[in-house]
Amino acid sequence: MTNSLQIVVADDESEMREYLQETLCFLGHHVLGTATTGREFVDLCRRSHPDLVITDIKMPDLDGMDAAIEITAHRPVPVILVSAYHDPKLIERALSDHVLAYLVKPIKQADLETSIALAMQRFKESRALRQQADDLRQALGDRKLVERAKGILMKRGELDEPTAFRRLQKLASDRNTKLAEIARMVVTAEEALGE
Amino acid sequence: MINEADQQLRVFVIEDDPDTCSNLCQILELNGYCVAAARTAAEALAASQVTCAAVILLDRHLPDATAEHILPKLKQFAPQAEILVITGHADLDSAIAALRFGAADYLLKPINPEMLRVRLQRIAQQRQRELELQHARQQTLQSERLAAIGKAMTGLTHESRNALQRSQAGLEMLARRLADRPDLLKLTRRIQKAHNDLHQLYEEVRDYAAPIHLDRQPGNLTDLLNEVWNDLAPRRKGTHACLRQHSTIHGADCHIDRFGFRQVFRNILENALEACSEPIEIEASITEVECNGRPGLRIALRDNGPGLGSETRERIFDEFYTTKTRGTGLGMAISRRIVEAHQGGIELGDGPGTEIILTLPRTPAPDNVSKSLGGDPDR
Repeated sequence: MTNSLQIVVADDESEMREYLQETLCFLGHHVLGTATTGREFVDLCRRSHPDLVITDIKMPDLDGMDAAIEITAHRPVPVILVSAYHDPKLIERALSDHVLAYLVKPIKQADLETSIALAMQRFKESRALRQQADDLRQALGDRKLVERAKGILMKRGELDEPTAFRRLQKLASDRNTKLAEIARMVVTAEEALGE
Repeated sequence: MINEADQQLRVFVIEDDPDTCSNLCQILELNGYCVAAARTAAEALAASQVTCAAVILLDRHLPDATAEHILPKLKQFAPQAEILVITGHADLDSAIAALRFGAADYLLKPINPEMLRVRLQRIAQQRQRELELQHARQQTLQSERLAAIGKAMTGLTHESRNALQRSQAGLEMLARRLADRPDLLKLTRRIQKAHNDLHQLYEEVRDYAAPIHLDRQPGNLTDLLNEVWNDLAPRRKGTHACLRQHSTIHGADCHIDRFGFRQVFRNILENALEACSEPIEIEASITEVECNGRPGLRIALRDNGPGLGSETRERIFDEFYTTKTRGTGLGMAISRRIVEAHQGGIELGDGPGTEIILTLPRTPAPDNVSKSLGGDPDR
């Protein structure tokens, strides 16, 4: 069971908006607002920071998919698309982008419930993956810095590798700074001395 | 009702000279034609056999009418008949004139049996060709109709699904408000169920009628089968069912329309899940074969269920044939359409259990990559 989510809904048909509002409430969520056009949808999301958005594709002015692209570019949020079409190419394109669930009308309460859980799960996973990738990138970057710093110390101070490394470590602990930070300082200093 | 084939063999002779007449009739009967005769124009027009004759042999000079006189009436009574005017040399000019009145040809007296036979055969062949042309036209018309229907259905998708959504939503909202009125709630549930059935029917017919757009891309059948099996996990929940794959080849790679083959596999697997009792075991074996002279794959899907009865074996791929209590019976018909659009084939194996065998070429023939069957290529 998903916790209560703050949701923004977009559909140009009032009956659909009414249905979604009622059903989402029934499922224990809170509808932050509803939009009738793509533009409205984008603005509403900018202002209200929803946990999840549900939108129809076919809407006047900006269509649901393009609106979703704009919204997620600004701030990542799980998107559920609802549509009367099930063109497989369209679905593939949507799902490969940033849409986490695609529902074909007519939809039921059960469909909403399942796809909300699915979308939130996928979103969580994708954020975790992204975080992991960022961490790894960071670690790799740090490692490179440390290697460069070591190299500099070895050359300048005519030290061997283990000694150079220990020097860096000591500096880091003395100043209560991260090893990578010290390494960066060494590299920067070297650049300043220039060659 | 005289059928077309018979009509070819019916000849009507209108000849007043008794010897000539019986002569002609004999020749015709010997050649397998069905003959009727009349001696005068009046007799001929009164005879019922005239209306179903394929050929009418008409003497130029009848006691009560000339060819020009009787020709228009004959054409009226027997519009489908070819009329050959029998005439003497001296009368050639008027015989040719008779052609203007609707005669198809003329025959000179004395009648050469061989010549007569050749003429009649030619007429029979022409008839045959006309019949075939008519059939072909009907087929084309039918295809065009189906294509038009398919196109119409595609165009209606948006509106119909929106309508279905509105009523479906209304029913759900209504049901929520009737928690305290079980009798009304029951009625609402009934409507919902009927609505679901209608929706399913609509989708299946829509699927069937819609023009097939193939987008063949490289894909792997083993992977696709597994994907579809996974998709069916919610349906399989709580059931003991497993899918085993055997492949004697390295990769079941081929160019397929993923969406289409998903449907095919899904239809077959769903049928198996429905027909078998636990523990359900489905075996999929993929082997290399030759398909229409090109390298292809053979996929055999077999379940451990009760198999198919003889009637089902015959009709399983027919439209609207189903042994389930629900469902339109279009699943296998649609599957066959899809496989055949890939230039492949689908057939039943011997089992035990139900075995469905698909064959298809690994890559499409050059003109088949993005093929549309029936209807406008632009959706």
